[in-house]
Amino acid sequence: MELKDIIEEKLVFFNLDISKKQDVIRFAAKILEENGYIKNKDFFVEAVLQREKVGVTGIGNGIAIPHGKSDSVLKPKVVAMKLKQKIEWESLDGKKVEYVFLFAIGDDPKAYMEHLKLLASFAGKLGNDEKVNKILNSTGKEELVEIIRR
Amino acid sequence: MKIVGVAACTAGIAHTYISKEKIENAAKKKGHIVHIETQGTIGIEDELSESEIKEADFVIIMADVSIRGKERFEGKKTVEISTDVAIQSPTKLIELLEEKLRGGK
Repeated sequence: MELKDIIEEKLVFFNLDISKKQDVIRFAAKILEENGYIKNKDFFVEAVLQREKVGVTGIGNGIAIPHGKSDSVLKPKVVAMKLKQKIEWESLDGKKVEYVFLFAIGDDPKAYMEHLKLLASFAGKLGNDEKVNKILNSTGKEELVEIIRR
Repeated sequence: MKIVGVAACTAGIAHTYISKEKIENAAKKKGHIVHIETQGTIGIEDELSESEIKEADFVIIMADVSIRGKERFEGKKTVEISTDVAIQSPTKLIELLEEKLRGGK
Protein backbone atom coordinates (compact mmCIF):
# COMPACT_ATOMS: atom_id res chain seq x y z
CA MET A 1 0.00 0.00 0.00
CA GLU A 2 1.50 3.31 -1.08
CA LEU A 3 0.62 6.98 -1.09
CA LYS A 4 -0.45 6.71 -4.71
CA ASP A 5 -3.20 4.32 -3.65
CA ILE A 6 -4.98 7.04 -1.70
CA ILE A 7 -3.97 9.95 -3.93
CA GLU A 8 -5.13 8.86 -7.35
CA GLU A 9 -4.46 10.88 -10.48
CA LYS A 10 -8.14 11.09 -11.24
CA LEU A 11 -8.63 12.77 -7.86
CA VAL A 12 -6.17 15.58 -8.61
CA PHE A 13 -7.42 18.79 -10.23
CA PHE A 14 -5.40 21.74 -11.47
CA ASN A 15 -6.81 25.22 -12.11
CA LEU A 16 -10.24 24.30 -10.86
CA ASP A 17 -12.55 27.20 -11.54
CA ILE A 18 -14.60 27.25 -8.32
CA SER A 19 -14.73 30.34 -6.17
CA LYS A 20 -16.67 29.40 -3.04
CA LYS A 21 -15.50 27.12 -0.24
CA GLN A 22 -18.78 25.17 -0.01
CA ASP A 23 -18.76 24.57 -3.76
CA VAL A 24 -15.21 23.23 -3.58
CA ILE A 25 -16.28 20.79 -0.89
CA ARG A 26 -19.39 19.76 -2.86
CA PHE A 27 -17.33 19.26 -6.00
CA ALA A 28 -14.90 16.96 -4.21
CA ALA A 29 -17.79 15.00 -2.70
CA LYS A 30 -19.39 14.57 -6.12
CA ILE A 31 -16.16 13.21 -7.56
CA LEU A 32 -15.77 10.77 -4.67
CA GLU A 33 -19.35 9.54 -5.05
CA GLU A 34 -18.99 9.15 -8.82
CA ASN A 35 -15.96 6.97 -8.23
CA GLY A 36 -17.70 4.84 -5.64
CA TYR A 37 -15.54 5.99 -2.74
CA ILE A 38 -18.41 7.45 -0.76
CA LYS A 39 -22.00 6.26 -0.52
CA ASN A 40 -23.84 9.55 -0.25
CA LYS A 41 -22.28 12.88 -1.11
CA ASP A 42 -24.77 14.92 0.92
CA PHE A 43 -24.03 13.04 4.14
CA PHE A 44 -20.35 13.36 3.47
CA VAL A 45 -20.56 17.11 2.75
CA GLU A 46 -22.46 17.48 6.03
CA ALA A 47 -19.61 15.76 7.89
CA VAL A 48 -17.06 18.08 6.30
CA LEU A 49 -19.09 21.17 7.13
CA GLN A 50 -19.50 19.98 10.72
CA ARG A 51 -15.74 19.74 11.03
CA GLU A 52 -15.44 23.25 9.57
CA LYS A 53 -17.56 24.53 12.44
CA VAL A 54 -15.25 22.94 15.01
CA GLY A 55 -12.08 24.62 13.81
CA VAL A 56 -10.12 26.24 11.06
CA THR A 57 -8.86 24.07 8.21
CA GLY A 58 -6.83 26.71 6.40
CA ILE A 59 -3.40 25.85 7.78
CA GLY A 60 -1.61 28.81 6.24
CA ASN A 61 0.35 29.46 3.06
CA GLY A 62 -2.78 29.16 0.94
CA ILE A 63 -3.44 25.54 1.87
CA ALA A 64 -6.62 24.07 3.32
CA ILE A 65 -7.26 20.57 4.63
CA PRO A 66 -11.02 20.12 4.99
CA HIS A 67 -11.92 16.62 6.13
CA GLY A 68 -14.98 14.51 6.76
CA LYS A 69 -15.27 11.47 8.97
CA SER A 70 -18.40 9.59 8.02
CA ASP A 71 -19.76 6.09 7.65
CA SER A 72 -20.64 7.24 4.15
CA VAL A 73 -16.96 6.88 3.31
CA LEU A 74 -16.22 3.51 1.74
CA LYS A 75 -12.54 4.10 1.05
CA PRO A 76 -10.23 6.73 2.60
CA LYS A 77 -9.01 9.05 -0.14
CA VAL A 78 -7.59 12.52 -0.75
CA VAL A 79 -8.97 14.87 -3.39
CA ALA A 80 -6.28 17.41 -4.31
CA MET A 81 -7.43 20.64 -5.93
CA LYS A 82 -5.39 23.59 -7.13
CA LEU A 83 -7.86 26.40 -7.66
CA LYS A 84 -7.75 28.83 -10.55
CA GLN A 85 -7.88 31.76 -8.17
CA LYS A 86 -7.36 32.22 -4.42
CA ILE A 87 -10.60 32.06 -2.48
CA GLU A 88 -11.96 33.00 0.91
CA TRP A 89 -11.40 30.27 3.48
CA GLU A 90 -10.93 30.58 7.24
CA SER A 91 -7.16 30.29 7.77
CA LEU A 92 -4.67 30.42 10.59
CA ASP A 93 -2.74 33.18 8.83
CA GLY A 94 -5.79 35.06 7.53
CA LYS A 95 -4.73 34.56 3.90
CA LYS A 96 -6.83 33.22 1.04
CA VAL A 97 -6.57 29.62 -0.10
CA GLU A 98 -5.36 28.23 -3.40
CA TYR A 99 -4.71 24.53 -2.65
CA VAL A 100 -7.34 22.34 -1.10
CA PHE A 101 -6.65 18.80 0.06
CA LEU A 102 -9.89 17.18 1.11
CA PHE A 103 -9.60 14.02 3.20
CA ALA A 104 -12.38 11.44 3.21
CA ILE A 105 -12.13 9.31 6.35
CA GLY A 106 -14.19 6.31 7.33
CA ASP A 107 -15.77 5.80 10.73
CA ASP A 108 -14.17 2.45 11.38
CA PRO A 109 -10.41 2.91 11.72
CA LYS A 110 -9.73 -0.79 11.95
CA ALA A 111 -11.23 -1.43 8.52
CA TYR A 112 -8.75 0.73 6.65
CA MET A 113 -5.80 1.06 8.98
CA GLU A 114 -3.20 1.01 6.19
CA HIS A 115 -5.03 3.72 4.25
CA LEU A 116 -5.42 5.89 7.32
CA LYS A 117 -1.74 5.56 8.12
CA LEU A 118 -0.94 6.81 4.65
CA LEU A 119 -3.40 9.67 5.03
CA ALA A 120 -1.71 10.58 8.30
CA SER A 121 1.74 10.54 6.73
CA PHE A 122 0.48 12.72 3.87
CA ALA A 123 -0.95 15.17 6.40
CA GLY A 124 2.42 15.28 8.12
CA LYS A 125 4.05 16.25 4.83
CA LEU A 126 1.80 19.28 4.66
CA GLY A 127 3.55 20.46 7.82
CA ASN A 128 6.93 20.32 6.10
CA ASP A 129 8.03 23.69 4.70
CA GLU A 130 10.10 22.20 1.89
CA LYS A 131 7.23 20.04 0.68
CA VAL A 132 4.79 22.90 0.93
CA ASN A 133 7.06 25.12 -1.16
CA LYS A 134 7.23 22.49 -3.88
CA ILE A 135 3.44 22.23 -3.90
CA LEU A 136 3.00 25.99 -4.06
CA ASN A 137 5.41 26.21 -7.00
CA SER A 138 3.90 23.40 -9.05
CA THR A 139 2.98 24.44 -12.56
CA GLY A 140 0.70 21.69 -13.76
CA LYS A 141 -1.37 18.64 -12.82
CA GLU A 142 1.34 16.11 -13.59
CA GLU A 143 3.89 17.97 -11.52
CA LEU A 144 1.48 18.31 -8.59
CA VAL A 145 0.60 14.62 -8.77
CA GLU A 146 4.27 13.74 -8.72
CA ILE A 147 5.04 16.00 -5.75
CA ILE A 148 2.20 14.88 -3.50
CA ARG A 149 2.66 11.19 -4.16
CA ARG A 150 6.23 11.09 -2.90
CA MET B 1 16.83 21.60 25.32
CA LYS B 2 15.02 18.28 25.35
CA ILE B 3 11.37 18.46 24.44
CA VAL B 4 8.71 15.77 24.43
CA GLY B 5 5.07 16.16 23.57
CA VAL B 6 1.76 14.77 22.47
CA ALA B 7 -0.34 15.87 19.50
CA ALA B 8 -4.07 15.09 19.35
CA CYS B 9 -6.63 16.91 17.25
CA THR B 10 -10.40 16.53 16.95
CA ALA B 11 -10.76 14.35 13.87
CA GLY B 12 -7.43 12.75 14.55
CA ILE B 13 -6.16 12.57 11.01
CA ALA B 14 -4.86 15.91 9.82
CA HIS B 15 -3.94 18.57 12.36
CA THR B 16 -2.40 15.95 14.65
CA TYR B 17 0.32 15.03 12.13
CA ILE B 18 0.79 18.50 10.74
CA SER B 19 1.42 19.94 14.21
CA LYS B 20 3.87 17.13 15.02
CA GLU B 21 5.84 17.82 11.84
CA LYS B 22 5.88 21.58 12.40
CA ILE B 23 7.00 21.45 16.04
CA GLU B 24 9.63 18.78 15.42
CA ASN B 25 11.09 20.75 12.50
CA ALA B 26 11.06 24.05 14.39
CA ALA B 27 12.76 22.52 17.42
CA LYS B 28 15.38 20.62 15.40
CA LYS B 29 16.21 23.77 13.43
CA LYS B 30 17.18 25.40 16.70
CA GLY B 31 19.30 22.47 17.72
CA HIS B 32 16.97 20.90 20.27
CA ILE B 33 16.15 17.26 20.79
CA VAL B 34 12.47 16.66 20.27
CA HIS B 35 10.05 13.75 20.20
CA ILE B 36 6.33 14.11 19.67
CA GLU B 37 3.87 11.28 20.20
CA THR B 38 0.66 11.32 18.19
CA GLN B 39 -2.73 10.19 19.38
CA GLY B 40 -4.97 10.00 16.36
CA THR B 41 -7.63 7.93 14.67
CA ILE B 42 -5.04 5.26 13.92
CA GLY B 43 -4.06 5.05 17.57
CA ILE B 44 -0.88 6.02 19.37
CA GLU B 45 2.21 6.35 17.21
CA ASP B 46 5.77 7.26 18.13
CA GLU B 47 5.01 6.62 21.78
CA LEU B 48 7.26 8.40 24.24
CA SER B 49 9.51 6.28 26.41
CA GLU B 50 9.76 6.68 30.16
CA SER B 51 13.39 7.78 29.97
CA GLU B 52 12.61 10.40 27.32
CA ILE B 53 9.95 11.89 29.54
CA LYS B 54 12.25 11.76 32.56
CA GLU B 55 15.03 13.65 30.73
CA ALA B 56 12.78 16.20 29.06
CA ASP B 57 13.09 19.86 29.99
CA PHE B 58 9.63 20.63 28.66
CA VAL B 59 6.44 18.86 27.70
CA ILE B 60 4.27 20.30 24.93
CA ILE B 61 0.68 19.11 24.76
CA MET B 62 -0.91 20.18 21.47
CA ALA B 63 -4.42 18.95 21.77
CA ASP B 64 -8.00 19.82 20.99
CA VAL B 65 -9.26 16.78 22.87
CA SER B 66 -8.18 15.16 26.15
CA ILE B 67 -5.09 13.06 25.76
CA ARG B 68 -4.30 9.62 27.09
CA GLY B 69 -1.60 9.14 29.65
CA LYS B 70 -1.39 12.72 30.85
CA GLU B 71 -0.26 11.42 34.24
CA ARG B 72 3.09 10.55 32.65
CA PHE B 73 3.93 14.24 32.72
CA GLU B 74 3.14 14.96 36.33
CA GLY B 75 5.69 17.28 37.85
CA LYS B 76 7.16 18.31 34.49
CA LYS B 77 7.17 21.82 33.05
CA THR B 78 4.27 21.62 30.62
CA VAL B 79 2.79 23.89 27.98
CA GLU B 80 -0.72 23.14 26.74
CA ILE B 81 -1.92 24.60 23.44
CA SER B 82 -4.27 23.82 20.59
CA THR B 83 -2.97 22.16 17.43
CA ASP B 84 -3.84 25.38 15.57
CA VAL B 85 -1.33 27.39 17.62
CA ALA B 86 1.35 24.76 17.06
CA ILE B 87 0.73 24.80 13.31
CA GLN B 88 0.63 28.55 13.03
CA SER B 89 3.57 29.57 15.20
CA PRO B 90 5.85 26.62 15.92
CA THR B 91 9.02 28.71 16.04
CA LYS B 92 7.53 31.27 18.42
CA LEU B 93 6.47 28.44 20.68
CA ILE B 94 9.97 26.98 20.78
CA GLU B 95 11.40 30.44 21.47
CA LEU B 96 8.94 30.82 24.32
CA LEU B 97 10.18 27.58 25.86
CA GLU B 98 13.79 28.70 25.42
CA GLU B 99 12.97 31.92 27.24
CA LYS B 100 11.24 30.10 30.07
CA LEU B 101 14.17 27.76 30.48
CA ARG B 102 16.64 30.67 30.57
CA GLY B 103 14.51 32.61 33.01
CA GLY B 104 14.19 29.57 35.23
CA LYS B 105 10.44 30.11 35.45
